[in-house]
Amino acid sequence: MQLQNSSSKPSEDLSKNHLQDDNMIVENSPAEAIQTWLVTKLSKQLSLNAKTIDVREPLTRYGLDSIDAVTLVGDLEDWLGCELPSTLLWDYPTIEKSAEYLVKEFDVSAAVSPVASSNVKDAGSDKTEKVEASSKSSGWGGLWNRISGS
Amino acid sequence: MNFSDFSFWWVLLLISVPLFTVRYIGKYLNIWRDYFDSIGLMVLSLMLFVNASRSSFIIFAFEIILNYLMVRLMLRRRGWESQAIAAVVIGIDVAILAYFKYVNFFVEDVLGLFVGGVAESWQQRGGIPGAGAIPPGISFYTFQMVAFVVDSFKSKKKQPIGVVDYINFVSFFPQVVAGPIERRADLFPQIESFRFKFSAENFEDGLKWLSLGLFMKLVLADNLSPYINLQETGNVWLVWLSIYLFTLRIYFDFAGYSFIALGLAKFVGVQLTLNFIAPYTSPSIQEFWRRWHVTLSTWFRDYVFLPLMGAKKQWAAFYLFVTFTLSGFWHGAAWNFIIWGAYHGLLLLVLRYAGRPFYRFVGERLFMPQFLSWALTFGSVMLGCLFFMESDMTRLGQKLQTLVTPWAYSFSNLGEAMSSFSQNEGAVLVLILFLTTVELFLEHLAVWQKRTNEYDLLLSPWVTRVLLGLTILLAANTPSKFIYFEF
Repeated sequence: MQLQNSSSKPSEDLSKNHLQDDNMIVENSPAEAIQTWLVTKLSKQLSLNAKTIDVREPLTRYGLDSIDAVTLVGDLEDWLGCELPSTLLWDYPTIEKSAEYLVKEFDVSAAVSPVASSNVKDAGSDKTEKVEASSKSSGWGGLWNRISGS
Repeated sequence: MNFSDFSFWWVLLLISVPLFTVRYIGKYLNIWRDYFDSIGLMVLSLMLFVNASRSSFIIFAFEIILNYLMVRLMLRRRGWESQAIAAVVIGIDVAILAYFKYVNFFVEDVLGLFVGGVAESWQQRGGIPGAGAIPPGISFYTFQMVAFVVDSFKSKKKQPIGVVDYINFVSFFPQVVAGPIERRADLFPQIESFRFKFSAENFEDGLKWLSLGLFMKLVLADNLSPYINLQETGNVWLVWLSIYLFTLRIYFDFAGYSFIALGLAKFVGVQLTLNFIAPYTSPSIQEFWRRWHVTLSTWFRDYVFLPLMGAKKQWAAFYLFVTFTLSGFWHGAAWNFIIWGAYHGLLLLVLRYAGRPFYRFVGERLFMPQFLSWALTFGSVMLGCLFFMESDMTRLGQKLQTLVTPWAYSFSNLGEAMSSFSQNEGAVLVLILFLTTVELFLEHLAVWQKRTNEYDLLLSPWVTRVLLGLTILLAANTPSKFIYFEF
């Protein structure tokens, strides 16, 4: 999928990917994988049809508010496994810009590998497993997480 | 700086002419050193500040010295020491602001609610020294200094900061008194080792923003101002008219100020943050707050909302409400501002938790045009403006009562409202409203056309010339004070 150079609307391309095979999402680049994740998440959070989301439109156009912005960044942190600026979706107010920034500034390769991205649609349910996994691997930090209940 | 005050332009000219003459001769003789530009800018900014307000300048000078020394010390220390220095300097900055802005309110309006006679005896004693009037610009430069401390504390590069650079950062004359509230990352690199960059491009860009800003302030805001009748509480049409006019005025007044500041900064080669991004084109309240007074909104987001909330993201809604209420309180130590802030916070939450399900329900069954979303947003902002403009709580109650009384919307009241203006007054009002409509339409058009800048059409060469001509022809005879000088 040539998202950047495509003449069709990016959101349409992303939606097509979803519709072709609901269980398997394949992207050509990490930026596209993040865009797909954001479109999926946004469509669920705001009860929108993913087809109607244009990655180049400001997120506020879809009714994204400050509460969504901070919670979405939190979910994105869980998925990508790195600490992100809380102001990400304000500083980069479109899906396209946010994805570009993340790819440029963070090592997202582990999370957006084909295997990982195939589970994009279950990103929310993965959260618990990810926390447990990170707890196991982080030694005393993991113990602290268990004690504090986080 | 009061850009509608003749003395600002006079002092600017009086200092600029000798400064740039000396600079030109110095450069010609090759004896002018680059760092003289920074010193020249500092002198220019400080002299203009002294001219604007001597009382505020004394406080400003004290805060500059304190903040600079403390930040310098903070950058040399690590760990808890650095954190403690940051906390102390922020505490002092906020305490100074609170002293001048909130002491009277707390004693008279808050304490007075619980203890009888406190307000009267406090007023008789004349309050505390200096707390009667708010020194111009204190909120804006305090916020900018606080942000600088936090940003420097978080900064990975702990390089020392030059005293002249710091003074220029906090006192840069186009924006020191009423913003935009600039951040370290945006403005400091431009101010560090400042050089005057006079070029044809900067001059043209600067003139465009200056023309738009002057037109918004002197033609639109100042000509609308006399028609806003705060005393009227009985005639619902006149109450609505005043709310509508105030909604327009506050935007043109403050955006006008911001654009003049932007233009002046461009002349010397500095790019300030765009403080307004066509807020009245917003189809939702969320978007409105991303377009209105951008630097203040982001300040509250970064230094109040996010730190208050911390990791407790499940409480985001509560902290959002608190932040908006605090933002209202910042605008003024009065109940109406607190109500205004809380109203906007509540509006966002109601739209989120009730509006979304309703919209889903309606959206599935009815066509919801973009125009309706815009109209609802603009209507909500207008109602908010009632709380903003009306500081008399009794009158505010009366106006609200009038607005919700169905039979107040009668034709006889409409006729009475229309006859309250003379023919000349009516004609001028219609002309100014026509100009505001054209101005706002050009903003809408730029948004619809997805232009990179919402003011693109208004900044095109021929429109700029027309705006400048209209400003010369139609500028109000008696310019009113900038609304945000009171905050």
